[in-house]
Amino acid sequence: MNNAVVAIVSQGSLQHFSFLVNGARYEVLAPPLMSLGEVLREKCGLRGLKHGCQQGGCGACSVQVDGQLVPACMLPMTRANQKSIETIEGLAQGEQLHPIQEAFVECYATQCGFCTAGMIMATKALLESNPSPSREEVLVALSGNVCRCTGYLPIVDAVLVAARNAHSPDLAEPAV
Amino acid sequence: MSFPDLVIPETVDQAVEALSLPHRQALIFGGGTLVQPFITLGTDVHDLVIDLDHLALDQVVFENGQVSCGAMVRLAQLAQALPQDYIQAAVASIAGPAIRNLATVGGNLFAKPPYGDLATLLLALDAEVELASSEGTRRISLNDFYLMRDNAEASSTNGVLVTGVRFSADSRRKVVFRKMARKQLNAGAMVTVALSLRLNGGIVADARLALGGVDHRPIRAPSAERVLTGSNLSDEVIESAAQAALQDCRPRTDAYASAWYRGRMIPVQVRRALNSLTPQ
Amino acid sequence: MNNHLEKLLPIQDVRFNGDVDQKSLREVGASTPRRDAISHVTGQTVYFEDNTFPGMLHLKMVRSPHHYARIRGIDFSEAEKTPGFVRVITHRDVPYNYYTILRLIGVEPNDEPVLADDRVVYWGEPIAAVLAESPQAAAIAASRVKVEFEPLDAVFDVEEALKPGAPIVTRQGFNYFRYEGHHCRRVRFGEVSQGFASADLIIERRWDTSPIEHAPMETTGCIAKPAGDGRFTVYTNTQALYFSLDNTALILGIPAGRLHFIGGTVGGGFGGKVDVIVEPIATLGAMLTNRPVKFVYTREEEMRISSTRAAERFYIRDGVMRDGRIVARQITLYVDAGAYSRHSPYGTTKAAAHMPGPYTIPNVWVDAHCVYTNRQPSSAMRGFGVTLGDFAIESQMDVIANELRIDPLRLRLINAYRDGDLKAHRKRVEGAALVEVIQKAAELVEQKLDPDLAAMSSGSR
Repeated sequence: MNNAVVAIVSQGSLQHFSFLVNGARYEVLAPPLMSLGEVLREKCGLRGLKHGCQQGGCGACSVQVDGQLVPACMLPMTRANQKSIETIEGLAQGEQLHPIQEAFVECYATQCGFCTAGMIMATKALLESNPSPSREEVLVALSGNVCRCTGYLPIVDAVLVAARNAHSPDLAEPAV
Repeated sequence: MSFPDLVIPETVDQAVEALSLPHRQALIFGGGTLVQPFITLGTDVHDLVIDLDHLALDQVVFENGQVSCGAMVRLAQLAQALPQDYIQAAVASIAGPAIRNLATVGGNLFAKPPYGDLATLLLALDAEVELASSEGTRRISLNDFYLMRDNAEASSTNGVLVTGVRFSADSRRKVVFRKMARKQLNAGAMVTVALSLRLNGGIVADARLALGGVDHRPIRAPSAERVLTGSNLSDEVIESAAQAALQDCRPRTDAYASAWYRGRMIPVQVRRALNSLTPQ
Repeated sequence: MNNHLEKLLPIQDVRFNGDVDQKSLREVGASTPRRDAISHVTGQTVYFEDNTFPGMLHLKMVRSPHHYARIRGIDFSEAEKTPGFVRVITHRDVPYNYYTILRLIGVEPNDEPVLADDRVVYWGEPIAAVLAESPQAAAIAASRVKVEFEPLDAVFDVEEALKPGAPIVTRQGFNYFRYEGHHCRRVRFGEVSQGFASADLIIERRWDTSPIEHAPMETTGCIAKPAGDGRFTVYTNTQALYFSLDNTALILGIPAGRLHFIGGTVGGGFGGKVDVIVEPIATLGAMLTNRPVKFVYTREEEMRISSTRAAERFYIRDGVMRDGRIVARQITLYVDAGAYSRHSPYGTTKAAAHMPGPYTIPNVWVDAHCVYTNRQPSSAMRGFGVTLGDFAIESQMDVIANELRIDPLRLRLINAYRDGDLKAHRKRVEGAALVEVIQKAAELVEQKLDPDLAAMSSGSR
């Protein structure tokens, strides 16, 4: 049995990481313990995700990693290597908004906008696994995302409108 | 320098060896949800991070009423694998969906109050932890593990690694989990109650009552368990057990609730948990 | 009459644009999409921290762990050895080391230092700014700064702070803001002692509130960047862009024309981003290093150190008649400014003017104190000085209604002020609508009002 410990990555030294973001390949040099959030924002120029707390508590940095909703501030770069990441920048196709984005505009689900990218990614993750959520399921899916401006109701409505607009059967009715 | 040293062992033996590397303070990186914030904000205290992600500790096996669960099993994964409503309730009570995709069963054992709700449930389910150290592997009850840590010298690792958890999911027992928090979703515990009873006729053959948010870690409430064992679940017994539970707790004040308020709520929550198991 | 004199006459005949061209106004009653919604939902909105520059330094503040203490000495030697450390800024480096928020609106003294000199008066007060190559290096270096303190007794309660022998928080020798030589804002109207003497019942209550944190999603911060021509560009999320620019110019002792502030995109303000608290020191850092400097609050700093809504305490003593008329109201209120003034003296003035609420009461007595304690400096938030007054007043009204066994709506309707009434601070009531709003609200919740109440109007008593 080989008991040799894997080499220590010494402090501050950079490693090479390769990963997909919204289908495009990125190659970066970063400390392995730097968070994915910091790497995406500072090294990849993808500033749509926001850092509201750096503790996984606010949801503003939510992205999808291999389809799973994850707070980007909580994932060290060493764990994001070779993964396929989706961020807010990947939703619109040129000028054409994604149905979730359209619903957020239609339902006045934004004010200051700082929580918005995270809310939309949480919505996307929800609708990909549950295309016709109940209102209660929406509340659970967005329970990791904090908003200080809207009081949440327009956001919940936007999620249900987005679900409806994707032509799903068995829908909960939004309040609007 | 700006980030601690990182070690990524490929086997449990390598991980145990990494624990004995000279260091000031190490961070065990399971899901990262408790640990990454220290790294991101800049820590002068922790100089070593040991990553558990390559140790294949991510299996859940449920057979014969027993669950065997690797330390790296994610909370969301546990809820997918096990249908029991108390497992669902405990996992759903912890943080939000994104955190639950990362946070691990093993990590929850070390979450300080007002967190650690799954650990609270596991205490009531007769959980045992699987430990690996330079002396080999062994299994001890979760309660004994906590007592061991209570008495150990200050060191985040003590040279011992938790590699897995085993616990009872015996369908013949009555189990309830309830968490009192400021919000219905995504809030730390004011009082968490996990109760597991075996009933013979209307009599309690044995009782496990675990409480979270009421001390420096999840605790058992032996004073309440003694009241319940051998008794029926009459109003008087329930009230007596609810009051007895308070004696085992040393609630503290935090941003969610004062020690005083927790003390007021402990008997209420215990009573409600017991009432939910009686035919009403 | 010539144009010069016309300007001195009261405005009798006001014409708005709408009177001139109705057709171009279409917003009220229509659903208009928010102009910024598309950039928010696509992640394109640029917040200050979405800018980054080569060579940018990160500022981390060394803060007081004590509520009240003298500073005996500071040792930077361990901090300086931190890899990535660039330099530290202390009060000696600040050209004019005092915030001038109120001076800009004619209120003195300037009481809050940018960086502490010989003492700290609240937990978290900034002492020294560490600049480093990465946020982690800055935090590590800051944690290695050793400050020698002599802790002092602190005071945390507004009434304790006003008692003889209380620790004095300010450098003025007393724990209150002085309003034109007086120890509080005062309103005197009629004669409350006579009102109380004639009252059927005296009702007295105390109302307390806690400080409230704005908790915006985006924490306070800015990036200050040398523009290369002796000017500085500052990207900031302040709600008070010109305030911040002017304050920064005064603190750095440079002409305002050398500053270019870019802002207006705020990830949640609510009054919490009006204190001008990060731009001066970050800009000074850019000046001293000739590099861009970012200073952004961590979530902990935002929650525990940034300003809050002030805690307030109200003692309301009412003389009331059995039929519900309030004939005398005496209010003593305390605003907990915390350790420094910020906007609290202004808020307390508003509080005094807001009393006794939207009611015509013939005898009113108000003392409104702006008090300093060793707590977090409080500041602006959502109607500060006014909203908490309404909590106290309306809670008191419900208590009165309960004591008199009168419908709470009746109590308010009979006391509501009418057009032409004189308020306690000597302004005439104009355009009052409280009566009509209560009537409409009652209708909406299907609560039938007695005929005499339903017939009331703001135009007559």
